[in-house]
Formats: sequence, structure tokens, C-alpha cells
Amino acid sequence: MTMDTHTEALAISGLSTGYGGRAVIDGLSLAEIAPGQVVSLVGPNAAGKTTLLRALAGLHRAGGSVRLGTRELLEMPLADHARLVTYMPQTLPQRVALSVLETVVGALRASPVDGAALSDRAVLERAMDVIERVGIDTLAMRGLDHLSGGQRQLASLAQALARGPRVLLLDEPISALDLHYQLRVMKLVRDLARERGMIVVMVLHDLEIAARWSDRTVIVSQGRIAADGPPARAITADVLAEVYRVRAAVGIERGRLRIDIADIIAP
Amino acid sequence: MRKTSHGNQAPDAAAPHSPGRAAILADYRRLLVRRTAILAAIGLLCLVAFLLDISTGPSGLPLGHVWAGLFDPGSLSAPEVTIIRQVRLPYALMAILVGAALSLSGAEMQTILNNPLASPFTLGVSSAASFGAALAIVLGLSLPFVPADWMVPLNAFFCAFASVLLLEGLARSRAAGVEGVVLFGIALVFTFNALVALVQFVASQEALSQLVFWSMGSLARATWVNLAVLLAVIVLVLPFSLGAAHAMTALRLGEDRARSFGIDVQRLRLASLLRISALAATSVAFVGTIGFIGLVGPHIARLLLGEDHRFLLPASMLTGALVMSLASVASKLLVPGVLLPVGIVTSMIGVPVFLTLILRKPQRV
Repeated sequence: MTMDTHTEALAISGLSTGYGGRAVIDGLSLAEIAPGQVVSLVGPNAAGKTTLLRALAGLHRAGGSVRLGTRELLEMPLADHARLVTYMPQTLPQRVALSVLETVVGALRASPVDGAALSDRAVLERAMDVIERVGIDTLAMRGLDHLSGGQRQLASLAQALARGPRVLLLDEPISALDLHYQLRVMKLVRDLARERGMIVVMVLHDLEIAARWSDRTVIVSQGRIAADGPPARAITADVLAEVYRVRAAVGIERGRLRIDIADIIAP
Repeated sequence: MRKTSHGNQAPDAAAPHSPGRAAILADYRRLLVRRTAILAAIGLLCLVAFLLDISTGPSGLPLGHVWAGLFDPGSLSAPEVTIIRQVRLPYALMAILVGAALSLSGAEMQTILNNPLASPFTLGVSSAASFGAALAIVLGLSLPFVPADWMVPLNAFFCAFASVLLLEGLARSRAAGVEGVVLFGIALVFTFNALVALVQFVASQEALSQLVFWSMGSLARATWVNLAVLLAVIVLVLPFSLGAAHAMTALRLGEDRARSFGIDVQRLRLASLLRISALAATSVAFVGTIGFIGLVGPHIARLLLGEDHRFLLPASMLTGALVMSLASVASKLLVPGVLLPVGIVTSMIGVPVFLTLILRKPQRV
């Protein structure tokens, strides 16, 4: 896929959001995310990871500031926002009579991509580009209602990538995938980030995968940041004890972060 | 297209048996051609059903006379021309238009509320119209400058529109969510049905018989003026429906996803509910409660053509028109010499057909 390389950084400061009157995230700030950087958001259940991702996606009303380069994303009209940022929920719905190709085409036709509506031919070519890149061309004409959970997740990723966003927000993109496709998706996402200067922020549960495939790990706990930095610096035994309440040994083995969970810490 | 079984099989490794881009795109184009052909075929069937509809009736006119009545009225007696031009033709056209309008509104409703059971009938729009009609019949409502004949459909329209505004209001408040709207619609059905029962309870014998006839749904009140109004509503609404087809296709994949692709889902829903109310309220106002078309039309269309709304919306109109037209024919043939209210027939014939369709092993187009 040939695309321009983007050069704008993402800056989040004083971000606050919640449900009803309850604040889930209150005044969260992050050091600037550079173009091409892959950031993993990890943390225990109900820490506010998905809420943070949805706020960044403009799907959840939020206060504070999210800037891409000089542009303020939080105040941007939906259609303009959609040209820069794409959000991928955990999976695609199952009972929909659309094929994988139609699903990806749908993402490209929903609103103008790159500021202009694409021709029918361009839409199809672009959809096939991304379907091939994700490696699901054998599934292109198959209906979502005939796919396994993992296959739907791959189709979902293809759909999110199709619009060529500057910022890609992924909510547990590999939760339904087997080992082969977990690695394949992580590698693809990292390669695309490098090629296009695309910023990737993804919620992950597996710390070792997060450590291996992201440039930076942000550990979220109770709506605030417990640690942030290169994985080997962010993921430490102390942080795991504080955030996950587990006793763990964290070390580096042949260049890879290795985490041995010994036990849970009794309350 | 290759078929696979359901299940949790691992994703295919693409490389070894990839059919290649050209083959996939050719497949896709063939699919589009096939869908267009299916659309045309349903349209043709509609025409056949329509012709069948004007050829049948209690007066037992020979087929030749029916044709003459349409194309050469001079060769027939005045009563025969009246039967064909003032009874059968409007009746048959009303079946087509009401079927198309109810089915289109059902298709839109199912998509924007993400619920396969949504239709003007199941969410209380038809019940509200019935209530409006009942009030007008029983209380003998009148308005200055409005002909008495128009009060029943007009009041039915107002009540249906009010019920849609309530649904809209709820859809607009983010707190309720889609399930909230559907539950609220079901509550509307029960509320308005109870109110109609209350009105029936206090109604005079004469008003009651009129009311019961109305609530059964009948094409017998079709007039050229009614037809013109309904046609105008459909013609006005359709371009906006088709214009929202891409957005509605994207919405089928989830609200968050659609919004992330730049679709203002709240606005899409509001605009769609307005279209639905115009279509459903006008239909119900002219023919009474016809319950099944808004549900079955879109389902048949979906089974035949999938959920690309560029095809689904027009296909729903055609399948709705076809089912309604066939029901109209059946309403004249089921009991010889008796014209059954078509609302009864749509349910009697529609339900088994519908169940057969949904219980059949799903086959993808």
C-alpha cells in the first residue's frame, strides 16, 4: 500500500471522562506519542483502558486536550475526526449478511477518506490491498455470519486499516486469535506504523506480547497512569505488585522481557 | 462462492490457495450483477401479482373485460368500467404502494434500531394510528375546512407521528440506548392497544363495527386521492433513504464502528425515524393496521440479497409490494365471493411463509 508518511505527534493532556457523574479518567496526561510509535495500554479489568481509547476515538465525551500536531481532536467535527483516527472495537458483530469485502468497502464508503469520495474502482482496489495485507483474501467473499471469531477479528482489523488513519486505536485486537495470527497481526501493525508514520494505541492483556511488540507501554490503573515508558522500564515487579496484586519476577532474557508470575498477593 | 461450515476453525493461511485479486473482484462483480437480476426478477413478479390482483374480484369479470377496462374502456358498460377503474385498479395499486412503504420503513427501522423484530407494527406506530382512528370514529372528531372523510386517516396520522416523535425523543437521549427504544416501542403497543380497547368499550354499536373493520386493515378505502398522497410520500422519502444506504450498511457493523468512520449515528437515526413515520403513518392512515409486511418484506429481501443497503432498501420495497399484492389476491380468492380484510390474510399466509424462510438453513448470496 502506498501512502504518505505522517509526521505529526499525538499529545494528550488533562483528559477527563466518565459515565454519568462518575469520573473514570480524571486529568490524565501522557508524554507525546511520536509518529510511527506503537503504544500498548495495559492494566487490570475496569482500569479505564477502553474508556480512554473511546475518548481518544471521539466516541465518548471528554474534557481536556488531545492534539494531533497542531489540531485539537476533541473539538473536531466527527467526519474530520474520522479522517485522522480509526477505532477498532474488539470484534465485528456475527449476524450480519455482509461479506468481508463488503465490510471493508463499507468502511471506505461511510465518509470521504483523505478528503474526497473514492471511485468504485479505487474503493475495491484499496479494500483488496488491505485484505491481502492482513492475509484474509481467501475469506474476501465469505459472509461475516460464516466466519469464526478469529476470522471476524481479522476482518475487523482490515476494516480499521482500510481508511489509512494517522492514529489507529485497537481494543484487544488479538483476543480471539491463535498464536500464528497473534504474531502476524502484531507484526503487521508494527510494520504499518513504521511505513506510514501511523500512531498505534492498543489495549492488550498479554504483557509479554505488549512488551515484545510495542515501543512503549502505558500501564493504566483506576483511571490514572501507573507506569509509562519503554516496556522493559514500565513493566516492573513493583508495578505488577501494585497494579495487578501479583508477585512476579521480571527479567530480560535474550533481549526479550520475561515475566514469571509466582502468586497473587492476598488482600 | 466457497462455502464453509460454521465453527472455530483457524483462519486460513492465505498464501497457498489464494484465488488472486482478479478472481475475487470478478466474483464480486458477478454478485452485483446477480443481485441486480434478482431485483429485476422481484420487480417482474410484482407486476405479475399486480395484474393478477386487478384480474380477480367478487364481480367475476372475464379477463378480457379487465384488459378492455384498462386500455379500451369505450367497449364496456359503465358499471364495468367503474368496477375496474374505481375499485380494482386503486385497490391493486394501494396494495403495491402500502406494501412498499411499510416494508421500506421496516427495513430502515430494523437497521437503525439494530433489531430484527423492529417494524412499525411491533414498535407501536401502527397501534398509535389505530388509536387515532378509533378516537376520530367514536368521538366523531371534526376540524374546520377538513372534509369529514379525512378525519379518520388524519387523526391516525397525527397519533402515529406522535408515537414516532416519542421514539425519536428516546433515541435522541443517549441514556436509553437501542434496547430502551425497542422496549419503549413494545410498551407503546400495549398502551395504545389498551386505549383502543377502552374506546371500543365505550363506542356505539355502529362505531364499533366501523372500528373493528378499520383495525383489521383493508384496501377497500383506496381512492385516487389517497394513492396520490401515499405515492408523493414515497417519492419524497426514497431519495433520502437511498442516500443513507452506505451509512446504514456501516451501522450494521456496530454503532462505535460507524461513528469512528465519520457517521453521525444520532442524526442518521433521527432522519430515518422521520422517514419511517411518514411512510408508516400515511400507510396505516389509509388502509388500517396491516401488521406483517414491515417485518417479512425486509427479511425476505435480506435472505435474497444480503445487507448491502444499496440493494436491501429497494429490494425490501419490492418484496413488501409483492407480498402485499399476493395477499390482496388471496383475500379475494380464499373464500369465494367474500372479500376478506387483507390485514388478516397477510398474517395468515405471511406467518407460515416467514417461519419456513427463517427456519431454513441459512444460505448466503
